[in-house]
Amino acid sequence: MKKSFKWLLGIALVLTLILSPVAGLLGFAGLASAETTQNVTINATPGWLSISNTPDTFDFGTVYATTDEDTTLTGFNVTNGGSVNCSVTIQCDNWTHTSGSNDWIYGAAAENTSRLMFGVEGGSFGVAVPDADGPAVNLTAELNITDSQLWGIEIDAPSSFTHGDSQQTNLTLTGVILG
Amino acid sequence: MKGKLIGLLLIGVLLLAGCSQVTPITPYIPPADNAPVNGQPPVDRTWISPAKVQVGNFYPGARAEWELSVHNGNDATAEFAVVYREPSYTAGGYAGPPAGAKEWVIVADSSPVLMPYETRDILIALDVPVTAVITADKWEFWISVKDITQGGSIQTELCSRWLVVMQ
Repeated sequence: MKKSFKWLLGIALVLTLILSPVAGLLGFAGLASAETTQNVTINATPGWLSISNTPDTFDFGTVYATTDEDTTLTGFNVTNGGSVNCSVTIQCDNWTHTSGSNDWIYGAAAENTSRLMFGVEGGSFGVAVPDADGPAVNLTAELNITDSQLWGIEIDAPSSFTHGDSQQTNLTLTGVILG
Repeated sequence: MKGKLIGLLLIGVLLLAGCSQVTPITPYIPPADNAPVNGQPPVDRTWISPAKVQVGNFYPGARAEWELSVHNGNDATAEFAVVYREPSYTAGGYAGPPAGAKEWVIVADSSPVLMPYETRDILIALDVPVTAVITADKWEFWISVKDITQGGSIQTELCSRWLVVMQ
């Protein structure tokens, strides 16, 4: 009798070892386990996102104090080359010198301080391009598939200079799907 | 002897029951459907896909993954930066990412170098620790993809939006 009881316990143990993972897979685990089996859902919007801009550079040349030069409002052209409608935001880095050793400050016109303004065709250079600290702003809130938007920039030139070091900044146009 | 065996059996059952409680959560991921809606994507333009990922029923301790396809539309090798990004704005009803969200986003390859016209799938994972405190029911973050070999001073960046809805 003792021997058969041991066998019974042995078989029970083996069965438990085999069936526990199976039971878990089949959803027969305990209550605590049931709490951890809620599915996270993931869905993705089909299609691809692509924007391009031409030209990809502009040189203002010599900048004079208090003289705001611009590219015209049709100096650049950004195009939605993707399969989804998108917005395009604009932002720039801070000024960095390309000659000498002094950087301008990025901001509203002041001594050694300058910023870029932008506008789109038919508009005006009424909005400042935020620097890396600011959130980007919309260049265009909606650019549909294959559509283009002409735009331009203006330099809000410093009110005065204490050095003549050349300056540069990079602008970033960011394409983001709508919605 | 019988008592010892019963005790052993009970311990075994309890241990196994404990194991089943920590079974890792496998998010339901539907079959990949990144196929573009208007034919094939262009070879000679840089693009990403998908542009938007929606995660539902999420909670601290869970993990969600999706592959982001990045295509190099240049006729030269290009290096890309694929990184977490704070959104410039969010979808209606969605908050910005919680503090610490940057640490929860894993990009399998954040600086891929792509051959001309190559497309590469990069795994993005949102892996939130169970101790994370998230007060917003809905929140958003972006994955930025930028060709860092762009030569001009006016550069383009593409962002994939991740919209997360908590349980």
